[in-house]
Amino acid sequence: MTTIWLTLPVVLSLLTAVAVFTCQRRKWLCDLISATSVCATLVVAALLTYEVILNGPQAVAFGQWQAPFGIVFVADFLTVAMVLITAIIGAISVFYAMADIRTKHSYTAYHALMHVLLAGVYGAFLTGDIFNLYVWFEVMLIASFGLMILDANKTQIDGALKYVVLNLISTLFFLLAIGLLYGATGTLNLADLNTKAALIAPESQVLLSGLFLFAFAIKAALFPLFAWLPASYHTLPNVVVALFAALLTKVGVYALMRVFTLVFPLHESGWQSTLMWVAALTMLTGVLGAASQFDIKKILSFHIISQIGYMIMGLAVYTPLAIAGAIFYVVHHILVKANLFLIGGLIERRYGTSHLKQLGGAYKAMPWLAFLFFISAFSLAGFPPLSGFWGKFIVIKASLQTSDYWLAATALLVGLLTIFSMSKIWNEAFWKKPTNDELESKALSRATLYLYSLPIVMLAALSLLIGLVAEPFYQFAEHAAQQLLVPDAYIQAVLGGAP
Amino acid sequence: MDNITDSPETPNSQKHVSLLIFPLIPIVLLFSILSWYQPEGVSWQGHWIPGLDINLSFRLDGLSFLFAGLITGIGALIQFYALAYMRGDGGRFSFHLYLTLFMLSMLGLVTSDNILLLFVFWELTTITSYLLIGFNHEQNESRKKALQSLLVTGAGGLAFLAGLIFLGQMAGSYEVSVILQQTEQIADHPWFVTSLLLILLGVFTKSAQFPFHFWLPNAMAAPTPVSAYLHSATMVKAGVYLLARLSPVYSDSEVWFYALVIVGGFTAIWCALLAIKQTDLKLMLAYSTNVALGELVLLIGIGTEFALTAALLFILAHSFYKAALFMVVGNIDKATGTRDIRKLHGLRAVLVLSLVAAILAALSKSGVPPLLGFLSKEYMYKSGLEASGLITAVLMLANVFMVALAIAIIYKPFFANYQREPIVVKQVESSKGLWLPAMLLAVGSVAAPVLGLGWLNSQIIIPGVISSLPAATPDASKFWHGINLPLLLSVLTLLLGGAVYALYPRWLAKQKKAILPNAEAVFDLIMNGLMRLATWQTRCLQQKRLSNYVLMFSVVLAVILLSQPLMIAPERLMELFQLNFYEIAIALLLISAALVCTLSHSRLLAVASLSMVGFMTTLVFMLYSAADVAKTLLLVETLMVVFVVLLMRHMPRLTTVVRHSKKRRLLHAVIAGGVGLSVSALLINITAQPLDPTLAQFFANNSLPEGHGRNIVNVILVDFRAIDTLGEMIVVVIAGIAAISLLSSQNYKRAPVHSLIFTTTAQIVSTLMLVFSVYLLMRGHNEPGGGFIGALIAVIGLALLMFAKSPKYVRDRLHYSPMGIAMFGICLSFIAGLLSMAFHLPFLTGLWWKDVLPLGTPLLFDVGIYFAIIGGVMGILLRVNEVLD
Amino acid sequence: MEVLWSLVVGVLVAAGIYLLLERHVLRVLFGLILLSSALNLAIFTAGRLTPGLLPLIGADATLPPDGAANPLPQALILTAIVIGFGLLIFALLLFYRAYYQTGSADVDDMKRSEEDE
Repeated sequence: MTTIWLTLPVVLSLLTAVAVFTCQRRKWLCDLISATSVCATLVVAALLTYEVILNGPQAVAFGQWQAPFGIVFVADFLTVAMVLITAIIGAISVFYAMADIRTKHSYTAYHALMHVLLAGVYGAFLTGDIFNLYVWFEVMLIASFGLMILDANKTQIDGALKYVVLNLISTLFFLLAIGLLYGATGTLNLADLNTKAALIAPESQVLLSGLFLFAFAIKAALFPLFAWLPASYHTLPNVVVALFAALLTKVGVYALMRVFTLVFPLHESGWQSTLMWVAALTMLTGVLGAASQFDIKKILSFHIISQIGYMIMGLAVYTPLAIAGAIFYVVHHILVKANLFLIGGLIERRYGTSHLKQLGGAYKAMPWLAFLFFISAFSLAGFPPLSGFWGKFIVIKASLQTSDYWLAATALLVGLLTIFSMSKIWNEAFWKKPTNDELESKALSRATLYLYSLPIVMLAALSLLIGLVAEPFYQFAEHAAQQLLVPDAYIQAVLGGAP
Repeated sequence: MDNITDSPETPNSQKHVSLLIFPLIPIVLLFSILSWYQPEGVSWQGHWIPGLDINLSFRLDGLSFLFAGLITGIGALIQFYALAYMRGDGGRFSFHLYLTLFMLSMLGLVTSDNILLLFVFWELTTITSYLLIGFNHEQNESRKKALQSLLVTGAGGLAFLAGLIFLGQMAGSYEVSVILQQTEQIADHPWFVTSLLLILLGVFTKSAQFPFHFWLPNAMAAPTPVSAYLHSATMVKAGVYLLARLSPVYSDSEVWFYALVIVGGFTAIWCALLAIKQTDLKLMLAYSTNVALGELVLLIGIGTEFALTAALLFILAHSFYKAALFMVVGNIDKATGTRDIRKLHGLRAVLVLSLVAAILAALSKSGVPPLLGFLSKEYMYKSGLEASGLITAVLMLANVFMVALAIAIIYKPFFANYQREPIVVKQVESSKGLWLPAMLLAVGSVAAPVLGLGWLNSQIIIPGVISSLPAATPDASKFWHGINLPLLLSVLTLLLGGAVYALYPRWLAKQKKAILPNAEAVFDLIMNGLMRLATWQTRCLQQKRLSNYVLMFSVVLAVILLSQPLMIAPERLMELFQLNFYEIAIALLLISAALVCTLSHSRLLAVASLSMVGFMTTLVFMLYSAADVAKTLLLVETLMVVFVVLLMRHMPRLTTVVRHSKKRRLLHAVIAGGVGLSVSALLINITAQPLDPTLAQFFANNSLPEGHGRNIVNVILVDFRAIDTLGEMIVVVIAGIAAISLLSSQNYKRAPVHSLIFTTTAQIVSTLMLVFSVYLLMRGHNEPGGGFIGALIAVIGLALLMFAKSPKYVRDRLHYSPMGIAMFGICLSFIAGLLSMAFHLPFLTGLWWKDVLPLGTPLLFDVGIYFAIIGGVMGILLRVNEVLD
Repeated sequence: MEVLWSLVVGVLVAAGIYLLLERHVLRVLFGLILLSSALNLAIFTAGRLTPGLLPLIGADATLPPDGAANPLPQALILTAIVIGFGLLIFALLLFYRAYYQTGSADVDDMKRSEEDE
C-alpha cells in the first residue's frame, strides 16, 4: 500500500486540478471536488507518515524501473513531515479560499492552480531524482506564476515581472547544475549521487555545489537573493500569499537540506561558513526590512525572509541538534506564517486595507481574532511556550554548542527585532483607536466569518499544540535530522542492498 | 493617567458575582501553598520535553515560599481591589483574566526547579505584563510604554536565555538541583563569566536596574492595580529572586560581587535622586521601587547571612508597604482625578481610611519601629557595616531619600493646605474594596513583625537564607539588638530624611537646572537609529529596479563561480585543432549570432540572430546524433520566433529605452564574461573524465526487451522517466492557461483577410501537416518522432491555417476548446499511468499487449502528450492572435 | 569536441547574462532565451558528444550499435526544451502585458508593486 500512498499526493492533486478546471462555471462543484481532494490527500499524507514512522524510509520506483535507472519517490522522516504539513496547508487554503475569493470570476482557476501548485510541492518533497526535482520545481513555478497574475491588476503585473525573471534565473542555473552534475557522475538519482558525487574532483565539486546553492538560495529567498519576494508577495490575494509564504520558500529550504546532506554533505562542500554568514544576514536584513514597513502584508513578507535565516542557520551549523531545530522551525513557521497571512486577510477584508496607518480598533471589534493573532505573532517572535520558541531555542543552543557565538547572538537579536515589528501590527491594527468610523462599516455575514475563522482557529490550535506538547515533535525532528546526516536508511530504501 | 470613569453601577455590575472567581483563585492557591510547604522544601516532578531536558520540575523551599506567598496573598488583595477599582470599565473581564494569568506565570517562575521552565514563565510574565501595561490601549502613551517595557525586558530575556543555555551546558543539566551540585565544575568553566554576565543582563532589565531602570516608571501607564502588583510587589522582584536562587552558583566570583554591588548601589542612589524630583505620586512610588530593587540587588551582591536576611525581610516589607501605598494613590486618583502633588491638598478629611493605611505604610517605608521596614533596615545596616563603610553610606543615603519621599507622599496630598483652586473630591471610600486591601497590608506591616516574627523566622527567613547560602547557619532575626551602630544609623536616617524633606523645595528648584542624562532618551535614540538603519538597508536591498536585482544576483553568481580557480590541462585545448571545418564554422556562427543579438540596436536583427542561435543549436544536435532533440528544437524555435515576432510588433524599439551608463555596461560585461568563462571551464573540467556509462547501458539494454521500443530516447520519455514527461506536460498546459489569462481583458478584433491562393494552399499544407503529425506520433516509439514532435508539427499546421483564415476558423475546426483538448490529453496520460496501479504495480508501469497488437500504455501516454501539447500551445497561439491582430 | 562546445556555451551564457542586465524588456527576454539555448547545449555537452550514431535500435537488432550516442541527456534536453518553451512564452506575454500597462518598455519603470502608496 505504501507505494500508493507515495504516489497519491501528486496524482490526486493533478487530477483534481484537471477536474476543477473542467467544471469552470459551477462553483459549488469546484468547491466539492476541491474540498474532497484536500481532505483525501490529508488522509493519505497521514497514512504515509504512519507508515514511515513505523517502517522507516519508503520508496516506490515508477514504472518498476529500479533506481538509479528510473525515477523513485522516497519518503523519509523529513519528507513525510513536509508532505503532511503541505497537506494541512492545502486543506486550509482551499477552505479559506471559499470565504475569501469566492466572488472573483477566476475562482475556479484559483482552485485549479492551487492544486497544481500543491502537486508541484508534493513532487518536490517526494522525488528522489534530481532532474525530476527540477520538473516539480517548474510545475510549482508555473502554477505560482498563474496564481500571481490571475487578477492581473497593475501592481500584480509589476510584482510578477520581478518574480518571474528572478525565479527563471534560479531555474535556469538549477538546470545547468543538474546537467553538469550528470556529466560528472553519470547519474541523477539522489541516493546514487551520495557516493558518486564524492568522486568528483574537489574544485569542480565546490563550483557545482555552489551552483546548486545559488539556485536554491533564490528559491529559499536567502540574502542577498530575496529581492523577488518582497517585490511581489504583498500584491497577491491573501489566500494565495498564505499558500506561497507557507510553502514556496520552504521547498527551497528543503532542497538545500536534501542536497547539502545527501549529495554534497555541507561540512565537506566548502560552503559551510559562507552559509552561516548568509543565514545571519538573511535573518538580520529580513527583520530590518520588516521593521521598515507599514503594511501588514509587507511586514509579514519580510518576516518570511528573516525566518528562513533561522532554518538555514540550523542547516549551516550542521549538527544533529541544529538540523532538528531547523526542521522543527520549518514546521512551526509554515503553520504560523500561513495563519498570520490568513488573519491579515480577514482584517483586510473587513477594513478594506492592510495598511497600518489606516487600521485600528480590531481588538475591540474582533477580540477572538486579536487573541489568535496574538498567539501567532508571539509564536513567530519566539516567545515560550509557543511553537516558535522551541525552534529558536534549539538552533541557538546548537550554535552555542559549536561555539558559533556570533551566530547565536544574531539569532537572539533578530528575535528581539521580530518582537518589535510584530508588536507594531498589534499596536496599530488591534490596539489603536479606529482612525475613522467608516472602517467599521464592512461587517461580514456570520457564515463568511465562520468560514474565515475555521482555518485560522485550526492553524492556531496546531501551533499551540506543537508548542505545548513539543516532545513528540522534537523527537520526530531529531529522527529526521539523524536520517539526513546518516542517510543509510534512505539510500537503502532507494537502492536496496545491505544496510 | 488612568482613564477610568466612575460611572456607578453600570450593567457590568451584574457580572460582579462571577468576577469573584478571580480573587478566589489566589486565595485557594495561597492556602494550598501553605498546606504543602515544608521548610526543608518539597518537590514535584513531571515530564514535558525530556528530549531537551526541559521538565516540569517544581520545588517549594523557603525562598520560593516567600515569593509564592506574596504573589498569592497580595494577588488576592489586588484582585479584590481591582474589582472595585475597575468597576465600570468595559474590559474588566479581560483585565482580571490577564492579571490572573500573570499571577500564575509568576507563581510558576518562583517555583520552577528547571531553569528553562523558569525561563518559560519568565517570558510569560513579560507578555502578560505587556498586555497589562497597555491595557488602556487606545491611548498612544500606553501603547508606547507597553512596547518599551516589552522591548527592554524582552531584550534582557534573550540575553538571559543565552546565559541559561550556557549554564545548562556547563552543568550538563537544566535542573536547578543538579546545577547546584556542580558549582565547582561550573566555576572553572571558560563560559562561567559569560553566562554570569548574560544572566545578569536579564536580571537587571527585569528588575529595572540602571541603565534599564526607565521602563518601570513608564510602566505606570498601566491601571493602578497593575502598578501595585506587577511593578512593585511581584514581577520586578523576579530578577531579585533569580539572583537569590543562583547565588550559590555564582556568589564566589568577584564579577558577581562587584557587578551587583555597583549596579545595585548606583541604581538606588540614581533613582532616589530622580524620585525626589517627581510630582506625580505614582512616579514617586515607581522610582522608589527602583531604589528598593537597587538595594536588594546590592544586598544579594554582599551575600552574607545578614545581607540575605535583610534582603528577605526587605522583600516582605517592601511588598507590603509599596502595594498599600499604590492602592492609596489609586484611591486619590479616583477621588480627585489627579495624582499631581502640586495640585492635591487637604484630602485628610475625605480619605480617612486611606490615610490611616498610608501612614502605616509610610512608617514602614521610613523604617520606624516596630514595623517591618524597621526590621529590614536594621539588618541592612548590619550587613553594610560588615562589608564596608562605603556600602553603608550608599544604603543610608538611599534610605534618607526614601524617608523624605515618604513624608512628601503623606504630607502633601493629605495635610498641605494651599490657598489655590479647591479640588473636587468624590466619595470613593464607600466601596470597601478600595480601602480594605490597603488597610490589611498596612496592618500586616505592623502585625507581622510584632506577632509573627517567630513564624517568619522558622518558615521563611532561615530556610530562605539557606536556599541562597547553603553553608549558612543563620540565626533567627530579632527585633532588639540593644543600642548599637545600626540602630543609631536608623535614627540618623530618619532625622536626615526629615531634613531633606524640609530643604526639599529649594533643592527641587536647583534640580531643574541640573541636567541628568536620561536613559530613556538613549533608548529612544537607539530605537530611532534602528528605524533609520532599517529604512536605509531596505532601500539599499530593495531598490525597486529589476536591473539592479539582476545585477545583484549576477554578482553573487559570479562570486560563487569564481571562488575556485579551475585549471584546464593544456592538452585538452589541443582538441580544438583536431576539429572538422563544419564544427568550427557552426561554432563561430553561433558565437557571432549571440554577439549580434547582444549588441544589435534593431529588434528585427536581434530576433533574427536569436533564431540563428536556435537553428545553429539544432544543427549541433543533428551533428551529434540527437535527432529527436534537433527536430523538437527546430519546431520550438520556429514557434518561439512566431510568438516573439507577433508580440514584438506591438512593443517599442530597442532604442526607445535609455541604456545603462557605459561604466555600468562595462561592469555587466565583466560579470557576464566571468560567469561565462567559469561555466566553460567547469564544463571542460567535467568532461575531461569519461562518463559513468551505467545508466546509458541500462537504457540501451532494456529499451527493446522491456520497453518495447527501438527509439531509446522516446522510451526514456514515455517509460523510463515518464513522470518527468508528465510534469512537463502539465507545465506547458498551465503556462498556456496562465498566459491566456494575461490577455483576457482586451477586445477581440477581426483578423485580416488574406489572399485566396494563400488560404487554399495553407489549407492543403496544414491538412498534410496534421496527417504527418499523426504519423510521427505513431512511429515515435521506434524511430525519431513521438508525441511532442507530432504535436508541434500539428500546431504549426494549425498556425498556418490560423494565419490564412482566422483564429475563429481554427477554433471552429478544433470543435473543442484548446484547453479542453489539453485536459483530455492529460487525462489520457494519467489513465495510461493509473491502469498499472489497478494491477498493483507502481504508477506508470508499462502494460503491453504484444501478443495481440503492438499496443501498450506507454503509447497511450504518448498520445496524451500529443493532445496536451496541441491544446496548450494552440490555446495561447489563438488567444495571442485574437488579441493582437 | 567537448572543449569547443564548452567554450560556445560560455559565450552564450555570457551573452545571455549581459542581456538580462539590460533595461529594455525585449532584451531581457532575449537574454532568457539565449540562456536557455545555452543550457540545452551545456547538458548535451556534459553528456558527451557522439557524432553520427543515433541511439536507435535497428530493425533486426536488440541493442543499439556500439558507441551510439547517450540517450539520457537527449531525453533530459527534450523535457527541458518543452518546459523552457512554456515558461518563456509565459514570460513573453507577461512582459508584453507589463509594457502595455506601464507604457514603457523599461523594466526599471515597472516598479509599481514596490512604491509606497
